Amino acid sequence: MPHEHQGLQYVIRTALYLGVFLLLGTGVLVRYLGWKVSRPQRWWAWQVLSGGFLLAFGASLYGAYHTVWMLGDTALLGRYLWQTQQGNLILLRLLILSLLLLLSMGWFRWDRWLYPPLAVGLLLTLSLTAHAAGEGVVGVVADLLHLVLGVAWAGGLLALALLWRGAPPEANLRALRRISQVGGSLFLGMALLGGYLALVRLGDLANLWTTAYGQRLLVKLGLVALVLFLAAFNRFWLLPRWEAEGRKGLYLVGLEAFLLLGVLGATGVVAGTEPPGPTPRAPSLIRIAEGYGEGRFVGQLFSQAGVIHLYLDLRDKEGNLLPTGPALRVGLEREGLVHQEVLRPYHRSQYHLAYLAEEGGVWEVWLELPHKRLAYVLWVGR
Amino acid sequence: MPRFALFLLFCLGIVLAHAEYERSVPAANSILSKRPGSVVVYFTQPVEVRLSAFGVYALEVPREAWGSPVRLRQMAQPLVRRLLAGNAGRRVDVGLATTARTSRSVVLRLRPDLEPGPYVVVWRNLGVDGHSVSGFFVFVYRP
Repeated sequence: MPHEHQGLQYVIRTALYLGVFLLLGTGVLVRYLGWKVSRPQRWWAWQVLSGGFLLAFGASLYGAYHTVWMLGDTALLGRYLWQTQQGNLILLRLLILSLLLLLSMGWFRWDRWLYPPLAVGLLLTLSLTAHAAGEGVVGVVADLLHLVLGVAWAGGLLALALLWRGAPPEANLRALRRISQVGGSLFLGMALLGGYLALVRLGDLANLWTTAYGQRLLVKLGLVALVLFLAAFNRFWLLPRWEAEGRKGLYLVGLEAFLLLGVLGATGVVAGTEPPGPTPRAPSLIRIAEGYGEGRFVGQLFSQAGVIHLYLDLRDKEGNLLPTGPALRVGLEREGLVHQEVLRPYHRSQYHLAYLAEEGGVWEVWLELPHKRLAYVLWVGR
Repeated sequence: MPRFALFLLFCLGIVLAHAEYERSVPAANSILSKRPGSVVVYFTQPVEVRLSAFGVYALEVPREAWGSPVRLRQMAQPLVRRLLAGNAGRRVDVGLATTARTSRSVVLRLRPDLEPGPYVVVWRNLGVDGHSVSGFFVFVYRP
């Protein structure tokens, strides 16, 4: 049976990532990349920090409620928080979020030393309650490093785009240069780790375009590529020219930050989508070519994002469609799940079947042509 | 380099997708001649045992159907839907023997007076990745 997902889960994950990136990104910018940017506008920086805190805190609590709601009984919330590993991690996350907010008040002497372990601890609670949790130590470490690098670069950039307006132009420029300097290495590390995690979760490269998880990941990769292009354009072309002309402005940081919001949204959706998992044990694309009288049946049987498609044409020996075609019986079966229907041409001698498979895995498909019965085994990824 | 390649292959081998059914003892669709004392279900990743629900239920179907696991699975679907919706069934297990908080396998003890017949093992688990997966399988005890 398919596991239960709700669209709301995507929203919760997106809000969680956005909150954490805002909170930690502002923290990184203020402490390590451009403290002069935030100094003249402490109140605004505090508001951005608090906004990130509230988003992450609210998303964590509501996420816990949503999980027990999915299990069918919201009265389980207390048991979930106290008696499960995930619940304990969420409580720990709430504690770390509160500590990070307290740190941002600037009351602590060892702030620069306390901040990194707390930030990494917060990100670890994210990794241990997401897909990485089921992927062993290597998966958790890779996911954590991916997040750490992402927060340092994308979080810092997001925070800079929000704090830019009230800061002196020289301070902005210095912060932007620092982000650009470290951005290359951070991005490379993030891309390598992201690539590794994608390979692990996809199992097979073909799953990148044939499964829902892969297709959503492609959207995320497309947005990341756009951000990268914009960052490179900003750094190597626009920034030197504007500096030479003595112009002061937002450059394209605002647009980069806006696209990063899209990346975080896509990450939320990918995190809420089931990865396809093990390598397929059967083909996901089968070509059909069967002679019939003077002509032949040609077409494809394939699965894409959990849907089984059958496209079939009856053509004469010159390859032309016939005026009409016979009715064909088709059956799909997997461990007791059975679907049968009679296919009739939708146009001349062309047939199409689209069936949403209740379960991923190996499906048996049979097709009764007028003169013979064809049987196939098809892999359906989700 | 070969060592690195082996390491990478090892790492890529850890491919999991939520807490899906991996295998079980007795196996899915099996016909047993000896009365089983327990059912062990293995998942592809650890589940939160205390927030997951598991049960073994008697499947009341004509005796002619006992020999066909595919047919039994079809017949079990309405019962499974009812059970997952929170309705009661004729339960034949006496509870979980697994005490760990999170585990990749769970053990369900069966009643010692288990009668011959088909049984359906149903679950709604909560994986450590926060996703819930429900599923079932059937087995037949026919001495």
